[in-house]
Amino acid sequence: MLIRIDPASTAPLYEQVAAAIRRAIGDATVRRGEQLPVARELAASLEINVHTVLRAYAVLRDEGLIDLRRRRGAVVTSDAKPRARLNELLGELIAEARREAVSADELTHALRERYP
Amino acid sequence: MNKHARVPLATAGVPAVSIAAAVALASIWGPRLPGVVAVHWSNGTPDNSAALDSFVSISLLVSAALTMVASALTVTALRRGTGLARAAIGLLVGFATLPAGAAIGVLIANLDVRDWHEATGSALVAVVTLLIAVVSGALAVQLAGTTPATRPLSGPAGDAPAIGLEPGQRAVWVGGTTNDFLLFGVVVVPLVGLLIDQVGMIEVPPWIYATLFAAGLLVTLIGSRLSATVDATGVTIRIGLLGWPRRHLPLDRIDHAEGAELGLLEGGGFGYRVNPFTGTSLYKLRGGPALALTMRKGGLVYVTVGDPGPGAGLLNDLLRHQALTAPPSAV
Repeated sequence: MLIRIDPASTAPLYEQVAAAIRRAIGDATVRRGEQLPVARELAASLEINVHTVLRAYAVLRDEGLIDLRRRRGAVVTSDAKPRARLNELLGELIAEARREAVSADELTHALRERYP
Repeated sequence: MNKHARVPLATAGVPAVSIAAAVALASIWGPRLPGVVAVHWSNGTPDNSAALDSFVSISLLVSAALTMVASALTVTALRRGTGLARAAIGLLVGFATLPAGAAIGVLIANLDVRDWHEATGSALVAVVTLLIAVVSGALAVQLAGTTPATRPLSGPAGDAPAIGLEPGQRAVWVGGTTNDFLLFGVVVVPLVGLLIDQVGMIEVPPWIYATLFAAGLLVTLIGSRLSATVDATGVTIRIGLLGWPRRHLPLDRIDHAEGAELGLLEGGGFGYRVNPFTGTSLYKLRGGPALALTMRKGGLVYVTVGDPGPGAGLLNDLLRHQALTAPPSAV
């Protein structure tokens, strides 16, 4: 699993980390039941704050992709795959919209037009 | 003295001196030795004997054969230019000298006895044997000196794997593999005891079950999982489910990386394996894809992990960035 971040990007770091893991789950680089790296070690490797990694993990948990357990850390959950791809694309869509300075309302409007 | 003279002198010359010494002592002490000598002791009492001449000849022939093997291995490594570990030379020479040392020890223990039953001094034989082996090994290490790798190092080639890491970007790659069969070691290993008990009809005492369980637990905890992390500091290899023991290979010790495919028995089997003569070490839980690291000092490190391509790519990109910012000094 490759996690790449760009501190110069406008996207928040936690969202970049979450997007990379989302992609890895989406293309089955990490599979159901596998553990994600310990947040502290991942933070050290990426030279970012551990809370940034924990925030990324929290985002993924809220999306239902991973489970955060006290002892075992972050574990990829079973029902992850079907939504992983969609979440990955949504993340990319939102990031692209931000780059183009398209507001959330405009984006929703554009979506409704294409998806009646 | 030239490397190509020093290494053979160390690996062949040093054991040859011990063998010659044994021959000389056997002939000088000939009149003072019995025709049949004690060669094995139990608790200080001799309990086995052999004819003097054949015992000395066989010991020295074994020593000579081991010496030839040691020399062949080291000369091959020298020709390949992969570098030679001094410890490996010392161990090999010490091992090749053991039979000659034992022969000398036996000669000393049997000196001036009328019958081999009177030969005491089994401790002496052990001490003399080890002493000769250790001194020979140390002497060989001194004679051989250090042999660094001579293979030219290039850093990652232009077509080596890459992930296109831009300057300023940071990345980490985590890969790993789990051997599902070994994961069940804690269950499978004690079953062997049950099988012997039930099928072989041999009663297995509880302490053997406890030992088997402990061994199985060790297999499960240490032997079933392997992971590698690539980041700006280098490569960290974590062994076992608990991620310990671990080994860190700093970035500046690595020349380049690539993905490789390991055969099931390649490198001699599973586990952690080192070949001091080719400089190859393996962290292996299965056959198949592995991350292959070429080290600056020569030698290769393989770690069996799934989909090693991006990991090798990231490592090469990090090495390319490092070469741009701080050109490494001549190795």
